[in-house]
Amino acid sequence: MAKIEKTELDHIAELSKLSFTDEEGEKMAEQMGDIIALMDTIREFDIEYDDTKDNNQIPYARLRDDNPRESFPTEKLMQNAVTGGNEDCYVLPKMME
Amino acid sequence: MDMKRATVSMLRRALDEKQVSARELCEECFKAIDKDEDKIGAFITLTREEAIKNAERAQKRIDEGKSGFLTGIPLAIKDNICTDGIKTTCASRMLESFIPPYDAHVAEKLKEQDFVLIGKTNMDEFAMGGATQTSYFKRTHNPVNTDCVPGGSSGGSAAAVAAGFVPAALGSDTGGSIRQPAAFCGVTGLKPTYGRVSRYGLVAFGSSLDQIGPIANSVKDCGEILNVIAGQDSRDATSSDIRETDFNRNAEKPVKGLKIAIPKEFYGEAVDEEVKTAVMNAAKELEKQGAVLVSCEMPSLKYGIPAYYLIACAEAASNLSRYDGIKYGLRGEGKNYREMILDSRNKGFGDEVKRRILLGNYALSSGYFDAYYRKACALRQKIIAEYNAIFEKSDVILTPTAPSVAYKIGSQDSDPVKMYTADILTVPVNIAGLPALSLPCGENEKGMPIGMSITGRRFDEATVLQAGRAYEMR
Repeated sequence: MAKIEKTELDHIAELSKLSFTDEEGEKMAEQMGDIIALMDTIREFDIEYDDTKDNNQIPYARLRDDNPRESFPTEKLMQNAVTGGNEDCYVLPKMME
Repeated sequence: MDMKRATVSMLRRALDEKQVSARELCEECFKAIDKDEDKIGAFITLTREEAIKNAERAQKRIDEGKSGFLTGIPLAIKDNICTDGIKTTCASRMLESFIPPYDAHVAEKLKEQDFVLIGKTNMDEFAMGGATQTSYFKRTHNPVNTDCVPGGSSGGSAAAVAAGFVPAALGSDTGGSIRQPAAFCGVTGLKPTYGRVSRYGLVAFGSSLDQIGPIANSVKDCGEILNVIAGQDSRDATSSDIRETDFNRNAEKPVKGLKIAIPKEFYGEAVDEEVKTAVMNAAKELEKQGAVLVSCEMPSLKYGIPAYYLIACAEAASNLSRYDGIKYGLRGEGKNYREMILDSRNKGFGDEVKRRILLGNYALSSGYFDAYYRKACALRQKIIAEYNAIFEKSDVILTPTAPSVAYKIGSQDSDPVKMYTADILTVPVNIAGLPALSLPCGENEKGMPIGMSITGRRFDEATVLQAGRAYEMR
């Protein structure tokens, strides 16, 4: 069973804004090792990405006209927010020490 | 009225001819749900009160003789499609309490018709899974055999249709999430061409792969529902302005002379014999009707899984980075900003979602980008080229939808690699952005449904539906 190094798992966990306990990390490192071994089969395929090709043929529409539109009502946007009793504000922990 | 196997077309006639009222139809759905939902687990949210009100509003429109195809028709919507004022959880603890402030484009389109929303269906968390077993809330069971999975990630939608809770539902398909559960539950599902249906309001997973589509009891219903939800939308820049007046315009035409490609790699060792036999019998049936079977090859199929998972997970890692617990979603705890974000994401996401975020960031990280992500994009180009070559000599491609029938619940939970490789037959279609339909083509000796897939050229859903309808009407 392949397994990725702890330092590698810690690095991608940091990039992913996730963290693991030692026990969780052990299991995840094993599973990620197996998954990456599966992904490694792609390496045997001798092909280069062609920048000149439209990758997935998406027929992009032209951008919409820049016309003013009515905004969402504040109370609707705030219905999912943690407000800490102040209905107009998002409550956040201190960002600067 | 027995809702099992009822088609929307049948119910439309019954409503318009006053054999049944929209309210009665809606109540029939809830009667079936009350009886069997405990065994199936198809729904995360039921919208009982609103449904009755909406049915009464729809009835007025029917009485005025102004009904559209979906007026008064009870439908379910997968819980990753935003519905204004109704919880949309993506089957995740992260969005357990999330109430969208707006409707997805498809929800707007259905509302324009005065449809009746019965509820929001269970799914794999953030549509990541193929069995509807990674939901934070519950596992969904296959109505054909409740010991088995319904497939996924739109397993709740497929199970709701197969159980007779609703005549049709919307799902989303990033790597087979409409077609595979449709095959496992013995119903019909259509993944439209990428760009055919607006993704506005669909919670993003793999943005270059995601597409919304119908699951129903007939090929024709899928075409009719697509008529309602398709079309360009300025809020999704990838939605196309290529128009189609009626996706069912060829549905009653014979398939005489239609060239059907049979790519040998889709019938390899990984596919169970009983599945291959059923699909080849269907091919012979279409041949009997005058279609021409054409042998062909897709050598890159074996690289489809790594190419798909690298692209999908890279996009997912980026899309899911928005969940930090600040503006919406689960708010974690922490002494400072960083701790709070980590806690929100650690508690909010399940293991499968975490694995895919990690894989995506691994593939995008410095030192690995060229070897994995860029290589996967190169393979995407290769797979598209191979499809184009097949379509130079054929009109549609016929393959099994999944390598096996629905398997026992719990039998693949601990093996992500096995779970990923089971998607081998469906992911190439998403990689190339093609339309594909899965419909039942028999069952195994234990009575489990087998599904076949008909894949078409980009924006040629009409031919896909023509071939599917010809088989359905055999």
